[in-house]
Amino acid sequence: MRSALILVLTLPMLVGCAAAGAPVASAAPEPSPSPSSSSAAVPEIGTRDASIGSAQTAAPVAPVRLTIPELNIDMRVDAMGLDGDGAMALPDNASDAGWYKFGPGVANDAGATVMAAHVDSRHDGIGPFSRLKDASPGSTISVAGSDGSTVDYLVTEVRSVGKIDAPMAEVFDRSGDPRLTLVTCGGEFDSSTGHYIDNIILTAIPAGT
Amino acid sequence: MKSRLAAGGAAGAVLIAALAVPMSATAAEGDAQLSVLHGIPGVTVDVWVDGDLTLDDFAPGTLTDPLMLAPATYSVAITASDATSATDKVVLGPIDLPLATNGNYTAVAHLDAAGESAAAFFTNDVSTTAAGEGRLTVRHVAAAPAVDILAGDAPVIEGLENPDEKILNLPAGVVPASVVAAGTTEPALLGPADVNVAEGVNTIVYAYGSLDGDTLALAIQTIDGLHTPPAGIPAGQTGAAAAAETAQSTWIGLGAFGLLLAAAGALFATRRTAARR
Repeated sequence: MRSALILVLTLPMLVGCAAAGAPVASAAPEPSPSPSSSSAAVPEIGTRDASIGSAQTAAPVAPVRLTIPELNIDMRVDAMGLDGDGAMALPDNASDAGWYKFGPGVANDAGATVMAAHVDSRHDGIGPFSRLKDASPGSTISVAGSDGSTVDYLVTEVRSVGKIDAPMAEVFDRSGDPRLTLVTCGGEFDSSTGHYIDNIILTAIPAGT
Repeated sequence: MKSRLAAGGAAGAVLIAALAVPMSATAAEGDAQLSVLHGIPGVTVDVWVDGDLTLDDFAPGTLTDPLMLAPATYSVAITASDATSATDKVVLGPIDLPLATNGNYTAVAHLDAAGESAAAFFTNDVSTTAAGEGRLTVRHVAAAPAVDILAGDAPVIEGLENPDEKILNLPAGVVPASVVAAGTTEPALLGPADVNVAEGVNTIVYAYGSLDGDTLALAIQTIDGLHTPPAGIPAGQTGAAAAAETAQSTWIGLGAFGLLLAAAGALFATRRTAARR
């Protein structure tokens, strides 16, 4: 009798959880949060040596090669900054990729490592990144660093975004989970401006995460 | 009855947990950040905030991580490291530090130009930097006369006096910096030292210590996350890729048309066959 009463009382709570978007399959009660063990003691405050040798962060490891076997892509990667208009500068040749040198590098702790390449160039025609839009989720991307390391990534998403709306702050985000972002142009070419109207944005996460 | 009470208690706990999360999130959002730098050579100190021991045995040349504090005015006292309270064996203060919402500050225990212990309270510039640029802040907190800062051989900051600061926004890169007496180019009182003015980072350089005491030194604090992304990624020049794409879909379209024709032909043939029977 008593257990029936408990059941009745418990059910509405489960329904409430399901309605709130919790997985319906998890019928087991959620573990109650463990009681906080922190006392009201003086917080531990980190201190560090502020001398010029130890206080400056190390430069990121530059990527030097990008390979995507699925798309038959194997490109040299150059460190790039900005062009005269404040946009990301790219190698002249569509066969080479550029890495945004002010953002995260290889094996970064957080944020997006950004590489981009021309989809087509006056110098060498149509480039390997013209195939970026055909990448399948789950396929492997390998990035080799200047220190000899290699990091593998898995494609999670490829999308096409109108350049007007292209979320540059998101593409060049330096916080959040480490990820690789590859960018090129796509969609229609506006011959009056000499620019494509879309950006193709591929996102990948480190393999094994 | 007992069960019902228990259920009520559980529901109450859920409610409290739900309330507590947004409240703490709101409280943390406007928090001010206060870092403390110790720039008085030769003395290890304790730092007290509102009468509580906050930093024990704080050594010269060290910097704290930012303390996250609700915006308010805090009383800070610096004492000898064996003091028993904020008012025992006082080296400096107490001084009032007014911290505004989302403000970013550094309090520095240092020597004034005459070599006496002093406290300086700086507001750090955490406004965004232009894409490709970093910020260099130079603060004179040393027992020394006015100085110039050289980048290589050229002065970039002139006549900086204790306890003033100067802020420069520069293309990101390494600056070979030297500190010289104002109006001179040598000898270097400090440096040359490579200061990495990283992109999107406010790199704050402190000259502290004493010229006469031969304890002049540089300390560095960095505040990152101030970057602005590039304006865009123009990654195509000729339209050839789009043209190739269009041509390809034209061929695919033609192919589909051909298949349709073939299917229609087959259907026609089948009908004729059927009609003949």
